[in-house]
Amino acid sequence: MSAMNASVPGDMSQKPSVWESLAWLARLILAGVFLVAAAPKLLDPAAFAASIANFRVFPDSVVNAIATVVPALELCGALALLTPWRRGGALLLAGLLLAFTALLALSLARGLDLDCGCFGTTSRADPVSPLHLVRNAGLLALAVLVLIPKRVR
Amino acid sequence: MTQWFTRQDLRETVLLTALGAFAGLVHLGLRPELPVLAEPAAACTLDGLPEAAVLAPVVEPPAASMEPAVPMTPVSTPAGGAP
Repeated sequence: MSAMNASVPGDMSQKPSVWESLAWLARLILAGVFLVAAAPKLLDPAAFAASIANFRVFPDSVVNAIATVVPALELCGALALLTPWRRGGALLLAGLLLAFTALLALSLARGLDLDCGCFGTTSRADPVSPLHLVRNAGLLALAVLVLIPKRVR
Repeated sequence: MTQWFTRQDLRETVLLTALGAFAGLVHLGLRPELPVLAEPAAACTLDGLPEAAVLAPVVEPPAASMEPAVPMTPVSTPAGGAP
């Protein structure tokens, strides 16, 4: 009889734990943020290429390729978060977030006053500031929440 | 020690990265205004100027003349108009 009451993996009648609910929320927030970030870059890659060139980190010859590959990676990671490939998507987005954070920190250290371009080029100026590092740290924490294995929770 | 990433996770990440890179490069190929390998920005130093640009004669704009190009004709006033 006790075997009948044992929890079955994937049993939808089970109430989700707090951890699982938080992980779901983290997935939804991360996916939403990266979908919103990728859309304007995909629609106007030339403007995003100009934003990347302003950072003066990459050779001019590869800026256009970065401007089209990065939003495609963001889109893939965000969509994967909503599928069973969520851990792969979270890992990909965590890697992107680490790269973005390093780039922003480098720009701050060099004293460059430029537009972030994080959500494409908008009419509202979005100069790079330490707040961007805090925001990225928060998003990275959400990705880590998705990546925490079940046996650790 | 708990293993955070499995082989499956890493395989998914690699596949997603490859898919994103491929899609991005296809997108780049479909955008004629974005060359795949962009030309480096032109040098702005005087030493970097090409010879042709240095030796190019400076064309001055034609001096503005006070003479009208078309001879002015007296404007006839309508009959009964103000002088």
